[in-house]
Amino acid sequence: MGSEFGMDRRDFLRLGLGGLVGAGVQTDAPVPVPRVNGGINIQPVRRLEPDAGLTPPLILPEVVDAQMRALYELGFEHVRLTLSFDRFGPDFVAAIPYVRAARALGMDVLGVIGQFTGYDLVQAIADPATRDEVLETYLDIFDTDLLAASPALDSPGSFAVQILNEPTHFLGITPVAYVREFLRPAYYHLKEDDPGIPIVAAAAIGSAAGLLQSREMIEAGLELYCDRVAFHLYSTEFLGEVAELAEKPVWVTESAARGAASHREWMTSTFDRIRREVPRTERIFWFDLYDRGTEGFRLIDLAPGLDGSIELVSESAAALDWLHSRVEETLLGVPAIPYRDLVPDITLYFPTEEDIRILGATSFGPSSWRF
Amino acid sequence: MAFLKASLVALLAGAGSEGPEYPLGPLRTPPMADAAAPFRLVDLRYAFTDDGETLSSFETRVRVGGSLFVGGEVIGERRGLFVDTQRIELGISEEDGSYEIEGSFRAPWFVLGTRAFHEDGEWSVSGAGTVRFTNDVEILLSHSHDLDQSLFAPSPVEEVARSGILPPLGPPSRELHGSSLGVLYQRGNHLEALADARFSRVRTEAGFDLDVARYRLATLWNPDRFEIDGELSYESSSGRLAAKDFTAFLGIDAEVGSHILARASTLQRWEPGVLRFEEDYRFGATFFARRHRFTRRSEASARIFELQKKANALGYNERRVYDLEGLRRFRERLGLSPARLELKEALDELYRAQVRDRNVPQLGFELDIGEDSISGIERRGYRAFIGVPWPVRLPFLRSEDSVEFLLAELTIRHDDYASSLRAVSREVSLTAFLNREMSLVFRWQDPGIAPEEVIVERSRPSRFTASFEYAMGR
Repeated sequence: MGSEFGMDRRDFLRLGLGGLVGAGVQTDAPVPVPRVNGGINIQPVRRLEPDAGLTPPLILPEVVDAQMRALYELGFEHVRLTLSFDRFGPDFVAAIPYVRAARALGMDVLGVIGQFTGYDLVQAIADPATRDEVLETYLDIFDTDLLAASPALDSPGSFAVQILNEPTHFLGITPVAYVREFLRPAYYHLKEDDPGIPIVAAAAIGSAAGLLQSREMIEAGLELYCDRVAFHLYSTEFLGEVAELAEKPVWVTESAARGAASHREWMTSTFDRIRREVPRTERIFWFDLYDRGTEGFRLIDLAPGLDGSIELVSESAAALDWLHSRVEETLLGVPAIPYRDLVPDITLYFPTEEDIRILGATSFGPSSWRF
Repeated sequence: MAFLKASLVALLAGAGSEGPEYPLGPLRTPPMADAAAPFRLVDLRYAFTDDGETLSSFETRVRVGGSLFVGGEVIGERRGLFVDTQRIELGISEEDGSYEIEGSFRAPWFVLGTRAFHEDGEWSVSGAGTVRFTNDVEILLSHSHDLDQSLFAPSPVEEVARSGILPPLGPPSRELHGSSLGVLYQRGNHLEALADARFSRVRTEAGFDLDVARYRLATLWNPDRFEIDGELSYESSSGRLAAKDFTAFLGIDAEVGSHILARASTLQRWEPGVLRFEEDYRFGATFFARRHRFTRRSEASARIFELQKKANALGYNERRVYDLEGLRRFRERLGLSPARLELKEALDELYRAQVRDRNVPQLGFELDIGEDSISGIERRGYRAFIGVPWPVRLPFLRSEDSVEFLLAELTIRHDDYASSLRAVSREVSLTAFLNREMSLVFRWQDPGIAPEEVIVERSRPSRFTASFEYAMGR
């Protein structure tokens, strides 16, 4: 099926982005792709098969590599992903290369201390006997110093954490209980370990009910225990109300429109409107780069190639074209350093023996993994 | 000992009775207007609760002479002492170092009440009063003030890091001060209307203040074979969390034939332009062994009306009430009054009319469907009960001489959380009405497991309660 640009969907990213990094006026030294396109959510997918279980390898390097390449070449500045607790099992480990590679490429990472399914994490945070261990391990693994992928990059990206995701919707925790029993203790423990780490409160679900939940969280003192307040905005209906709620800087940690035809419009005029009408907005994260769902939010699909490679497939041609054009405009014809030059081997960012030792030393180590 | 013996004899005495037969025999007309010599037991409640920990509570009240009630209570750690005359009510209670002092004075045209609560070295005081214009119209006033105006500041991270101890939570959102003004109008026995407004300043748990205004209209109308009660309120908050929301409640009870009462009600809460965030629907029906009577349309209601008019002409400042406990207190106050002998016959007649008007539920069912978008809960509740009247007969027979005897009730509630977790709570109870004044209740409750309990891996234990109650003149 041809795209609106007359190219095959699979070719769009390969040629478009490949062309970008290879083209340009050749008189200047190549520079890293500029980070000019705001934030985006990614999913730390281990393998493409939804029911891969423990099929080796636990993490397919090509899947991580493909998403990292897209993030780099599309010029995203900030990345948000879930660091799924998973009792420090495979889903937790899978987030390691995503966080480290993104930071090495100069992107700021917002890691959601959360869990895809189940109550293990919130049980561990609620229990004073395990709270320290869990939160410290998160920081030991992700809040580390690392080198930028190239001296051409000014510095590696920073790391911030968000405490849970849509807690009432996904976990049934009341807004007040979230602030008192989860955000407050997590804030004190994380700040004790790293006073400089930015802590972002959970956003409520992006709906009218979420607005009312956010009010209850603010009333319960949410802003006393975080550095940034988060909202999920899938509609522009309540921007005025949202603007009134927070006194601290706002991160819109999820925002998007359903259906590729609406993506570009949302990224441009709606994001501008959010910044205008919610003046404290510092960051907006598009939802999302890739997911396995069919809800029409993702920008790309990942397709397995015949040679074991993973190909990026455009799902949202107009939005990708717009992101691409902003990068091009910023480059002013200066060639970009190809992704492969910066990340010759994604496995450099994979879990190390030290990581496994740290995780293995916890009371949740491999012996307690549940699958 | 002599007092106890006299009380027991009085409890079981059927001499001079008229009216129905109870399991413990016939019951005398309670001596509401008669002075005690020197004491008469009027209330005795004992409850035993076991939910892993046992709790006993004991409440008692005696009449002293002709014009005084003295009561005491021990409920767990709470201890209280109360003294009531016709016009003055005083009470003091203590629990874990917190004190509560309350008092009220009933004058011919106004009632003034106050309550002071002392906890953690700070007092909060509130006052409420009514001004009576006619038998039918009262102005309602109230004011509350929390003398603790402190602002919570969370502990600095460095301090927590030094101590290694998670600091205590700040106080929950509370009203710093508030005032209300309202009017209550009672027309005959069949119509009541209330309008009020309250203006308050609330200090949130977060530490900032909200100004809250609430306006309410409520009515109850009982034209004949049905009764409608409704309430509409509007609340607006200004400040950081500015919001405007409405709450509406409408309930209808309707007699279907002579022995069945059907009930439907709904509660809706919504913020215009944002969301209807709470809704609740209830439907139910009850079959009675005797012909059903609305209290406001019963023989007793005419006596209530006349007695209130007479009491107010004497300067006793009484409102018409229709619930069992309210009527008992109404008769008790008039039974303490200087004119008690003059009112004795009317008081006894009111009691006897209440007995004649009694409803005897035998079978009932109620369905409750609700949703709360803020907490993300969808509710389903089912309640059913079955009664065996006295004298015992085959079930579901009509019998005008019956009284309530046994009542078994089952309540099941499903709370479906947005997280897909379902909490199921259950409650079973059996009540034995030994007579109109004495009952035994056995109740078992399983509260179910909500997400927050799953998280802390601790379920609330089931609870068993057994209680005995004696309430003279109920």
